[in-house]
Amino acid sequence: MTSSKTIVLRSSDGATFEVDEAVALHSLMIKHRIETGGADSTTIDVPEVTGNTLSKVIEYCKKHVEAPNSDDLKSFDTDFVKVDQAVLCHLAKASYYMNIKGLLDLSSKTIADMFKGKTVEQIRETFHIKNDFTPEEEEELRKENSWNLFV
Amino acid sequence: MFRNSKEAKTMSENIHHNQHEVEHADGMIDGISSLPDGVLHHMLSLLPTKDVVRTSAVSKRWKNLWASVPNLDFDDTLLYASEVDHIHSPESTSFMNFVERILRFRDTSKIEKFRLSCRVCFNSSRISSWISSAIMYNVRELDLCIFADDSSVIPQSLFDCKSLVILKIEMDCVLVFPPRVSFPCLKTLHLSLVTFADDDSIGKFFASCLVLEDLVLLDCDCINLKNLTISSWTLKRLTIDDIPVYEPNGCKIKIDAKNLKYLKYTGYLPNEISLSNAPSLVEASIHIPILNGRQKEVACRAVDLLKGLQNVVFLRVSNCTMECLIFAGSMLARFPVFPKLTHLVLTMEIGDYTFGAFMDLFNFCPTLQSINLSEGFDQCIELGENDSVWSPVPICISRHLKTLTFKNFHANDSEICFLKCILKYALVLEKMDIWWCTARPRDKKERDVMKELEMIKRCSTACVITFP
Repeated sequence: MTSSKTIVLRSSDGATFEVDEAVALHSLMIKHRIETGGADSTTIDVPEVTGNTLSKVIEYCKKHVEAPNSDDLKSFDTDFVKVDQAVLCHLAKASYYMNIKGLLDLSSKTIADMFKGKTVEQIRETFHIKNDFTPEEEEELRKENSWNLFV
Repeated sequence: MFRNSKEAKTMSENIHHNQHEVEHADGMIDGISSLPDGVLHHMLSLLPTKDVVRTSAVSKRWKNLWASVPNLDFDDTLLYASEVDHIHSPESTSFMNFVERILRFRDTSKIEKFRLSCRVCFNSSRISSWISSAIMYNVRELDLCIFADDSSVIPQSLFDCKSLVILKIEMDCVLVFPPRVSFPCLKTLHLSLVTFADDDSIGKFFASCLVLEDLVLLDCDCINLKNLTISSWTLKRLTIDDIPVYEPNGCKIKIDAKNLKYLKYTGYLPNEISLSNAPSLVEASIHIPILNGRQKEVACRAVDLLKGLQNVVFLRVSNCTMECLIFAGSMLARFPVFPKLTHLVLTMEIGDYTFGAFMDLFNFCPTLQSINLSEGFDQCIELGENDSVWSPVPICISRHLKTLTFKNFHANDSEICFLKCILKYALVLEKMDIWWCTARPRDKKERDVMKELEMIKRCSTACVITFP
């Protein structure tokens, strides 16, 4: 079997993307699939990721594989994560499943920075998290956490 | 994986259905809570532990995540704010209780990374027990910054830790090792501010790091040492930073590292450093600022250090090299030639005082292909086209130089004169990159200068001048 130059990636909603093998290999999950796959390894399904997210992930991989030493890589990364929360979460999840360390670190750090220095209430507001504790449970938590300077 | 696209579609519908993203009345979705544990752990491990613990009160989903986050980061910096007696203050006790509680309620048997910074709050036995806990949890990366009077705060079990891959210790005291030290997996070691006890124990310590690849010594005190040999088969990168030490010391440091690829030294060479065996060294960065009163001595030590860099391909240097050439005097005959050096970066401004030495340097780099003047020239420098430095023209400039990068460009006469000479003599020059200084001139002046440079007669017609 000759080594293919391009790989087709298929998202959960059926969208297909043709990418250079070198770019696809930036995802260790895909690398593993190719290495352990059989004759079918020119098309790889990525059922955990939708087309929209997969297209962005591919954009990231392309930049990092094709121009890893470019001076504007840092500004590319900074701009890459200037997206709304929902997209950021999808990127984090996709990079986790596809095992793309750089993108996982980048998206995780961006989300983590949104936690820093915030109170519990502020965290809930920022991420639209519903407080599902009952008043009794909250009281219990407060008692348990009385040792905790930081709640 | 899927036999047809219909199967794929059904699968994707199931995934969306199971995502249980909570949609609120105002239409805003809580996407973050539906991320898998692995992603949230990764994200939480980037936060200081105090922020991580706070998330336990956010919602049921988050309540127990903190107990299995792989990284722990405890920093008592928050106690600086109060003016009270730190050692006995209630805040101090709270901090210690906090650390202990988190270590006690771990939901998982492993800790990946444990960082502890105790500059204010100090209780030797409690801190020692925390480090022991981390070791029992098979910690992979340990980062300790402890302002203690002596190193007894470090438990003996640390020196026998089979899981440790990265160890960083910052402690301003004498570091005493037990007689038996064993680090079978340690690849990275950073020691800051420590004072080494004696030649023997530190030599044994380095020898017990069987797979060490990266060693960093920051402001370490060698006052008790006479002969220190850093001997390692596996060492690839060595960084030594001595900056605050001005007084010379009698210690001779020998580096015996067959596979060393990268060396970085910053300081005034209070100790004599020499590379007795480093045939694989490819890249070096040597920064020795000027030290009034000890110039000649430092220059001689610098020459000895540079001698060991003979095979280097990439070299970054600062003032030292110029000083060496000026002050080394009779030692100049022993100044090493760098037969493989192709990339040279100069990290300081060249002035009148050092320009001659700078040009002399080229006689020691016969195959140089790329020069980067990352700080350009001092503004007071005065150069002329008929200066003696250009006759004869150094061989590397005329025959090998391919790239010149000139930063901090002000477009004054001397700079333009220098660039003119390079263009005149460099036969194989391909690229000249000129970076304006921060006070970039207005468009017209910029264009005029660019035009002037383009018009200069050049020896290498293939040469391209760019202004990135």
